Amino acid sequence: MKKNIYILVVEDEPDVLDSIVRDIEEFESRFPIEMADTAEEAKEIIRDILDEGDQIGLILCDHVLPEQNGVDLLIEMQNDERTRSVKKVLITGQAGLEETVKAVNEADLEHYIAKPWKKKELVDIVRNQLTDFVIEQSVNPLQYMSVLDQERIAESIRHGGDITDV
Amino acid sequence: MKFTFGSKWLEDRSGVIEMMRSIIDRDVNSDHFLQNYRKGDILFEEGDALNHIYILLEGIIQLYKIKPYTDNQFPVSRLQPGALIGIIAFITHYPSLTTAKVESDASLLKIPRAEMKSLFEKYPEIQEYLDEVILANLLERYRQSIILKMKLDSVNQELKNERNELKQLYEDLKDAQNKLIYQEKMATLGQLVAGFAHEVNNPTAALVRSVESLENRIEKFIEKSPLESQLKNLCVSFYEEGKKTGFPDTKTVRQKMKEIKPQFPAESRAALRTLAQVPDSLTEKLREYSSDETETLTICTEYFEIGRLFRNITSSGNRIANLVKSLKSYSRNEAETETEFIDIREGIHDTLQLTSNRIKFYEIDLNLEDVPKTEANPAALNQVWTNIILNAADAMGKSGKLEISCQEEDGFIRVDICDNGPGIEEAILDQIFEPNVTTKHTGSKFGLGLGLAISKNIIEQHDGTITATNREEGGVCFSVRLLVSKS
Repeated sequence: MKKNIYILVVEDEPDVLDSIVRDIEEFESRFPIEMADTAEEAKEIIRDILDEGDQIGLILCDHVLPEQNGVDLLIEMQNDERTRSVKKVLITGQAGLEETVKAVNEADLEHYIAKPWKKKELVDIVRNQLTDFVIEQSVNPLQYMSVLDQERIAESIRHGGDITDV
Repeated sequence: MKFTFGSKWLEDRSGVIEMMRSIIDRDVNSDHFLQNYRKGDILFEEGDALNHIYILLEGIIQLYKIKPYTDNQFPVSRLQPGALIGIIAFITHYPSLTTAKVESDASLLKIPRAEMKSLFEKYPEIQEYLDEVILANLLERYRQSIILKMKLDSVNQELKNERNELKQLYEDLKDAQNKLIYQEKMATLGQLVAGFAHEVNNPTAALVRSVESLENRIEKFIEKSPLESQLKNLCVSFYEEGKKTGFPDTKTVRQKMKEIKPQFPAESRAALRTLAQVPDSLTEKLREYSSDETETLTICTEYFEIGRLFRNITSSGNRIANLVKSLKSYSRNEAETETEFIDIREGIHDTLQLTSNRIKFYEIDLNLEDVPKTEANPAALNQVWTNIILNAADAMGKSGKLEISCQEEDGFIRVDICDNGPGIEEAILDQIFEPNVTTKHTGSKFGLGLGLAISKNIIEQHDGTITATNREEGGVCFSVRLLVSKS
């Protein structure tokens, strides 16, 4: 059975959340998008996705959130082996240096996007991260190729990679 | 005991001198006691053992003592004719306490210890004189020591007062310096903000205006579109609805998506997500109309999205404009002492708007009753509200409740700002308005302890008071009372 790879977007301002989702809609044909406006809700969604046997490939997370903040959420995900492999991107208007360093060190942050972002920048980062995820996690890359970095996918297939379940 | 020489002999010692001279004149054997010294001669040095006693007949002798830890000789006393010199060292056999230096040519009787006895036997009046002098001397020394002790005490007191004054002056100076730095910062901020507001307002105005005319054009465009009229009407409804619809929360959207999925099994997640935000009545109309569902749905949701994008741009633009307005009125570019006739509630609203980033997750209970306008410095008052509100935010952490109220109260405007944080330790509650007192020592919440001191100063300049009390139910209440001034 085909496993879904989800993109999770966490942002508490609805119009900003809407803009992020709108900008990355092109990936949705292969990677369903889920949205949450608190860390708590994000964790619920993560639980549901994992319970369904699906995966989370990428999380785009705001820093300033009610209750638990974004950096702490990412750290919690890093410390949970089921979510450690998720690609983590912080998208924020104001995380101080201290918080960002913490995210890099403790949550293995892949990327930091400052608000306001540009659509191309966001799309490129998402494509790159998802490509990494697909190659690293040894999932059959062909079905995702149309929205990912095709050269890198082709390269990884040519080199045999670790792709086992083709 | 009775003084043979009369009680005034210490002031007038001529009798003593006469007696001594007459003894020397009568007794040839006593001639050798008489010694003459030149100015600058030393009779004995501090620390010498004394085996003589000196009686000054003529000239002046100055006694010196070496000051501790230095080589300086400090003048102790100036001896006149009739004085008995070296008496303490002579009697106690301890080393001399002072150095005796001849200040003007002097003649003295220098009597060796060994010859005292025979002299006394021969001339009992000398014995009497010596006894009296010793006693008088001791009395005088005792009197002096009491005077000295009292002097010392008053000098100490003076020193203490002076030290306290200096300390106070130093504190005042530090205070004044901190305030100056702060005022300078605020002035710089004011200038910066005025420039910034101007620069941001222009593009914001352009944005808002452009979007409005774009909206008009798009609406005309829709009007002229070649869609058949029923579909066109449907699209217009979707567009109009989009302009009115805000963003529901993510949970609602997710549930709605699940709910409508069976009705639109062929649609993509993106389409379902949009559709989940469309009101049910419109979705119903769409289903009634549609023969070729997917295509109609795509067109209609596009119109809905266009409407919502307009709404989004307009509301974002207005948000920027309001933010800039608040920022501008919050930190005016005028000198800090300038006052205006104001409604203080506007300042509270501005402050809430500008600190919204820090307080947006709190429950905020705002109860601002009508209060009279008063003459005040708006920028300075905003500073006070900000300090109190941000302190509350620091104290409450991630969640909490902020209660802000104002009312008129016998000629005063009273503003209460209360939080439900952990409160302030009673021990330092009295000190929190003093400079350099802070409860924020750890981590990123490091404070200089100036905010409340400056706030107090500002409120006092407005003939008001500011107090802080712990609430029984937890948290702190800051109460500000401002005198209502009639212009």
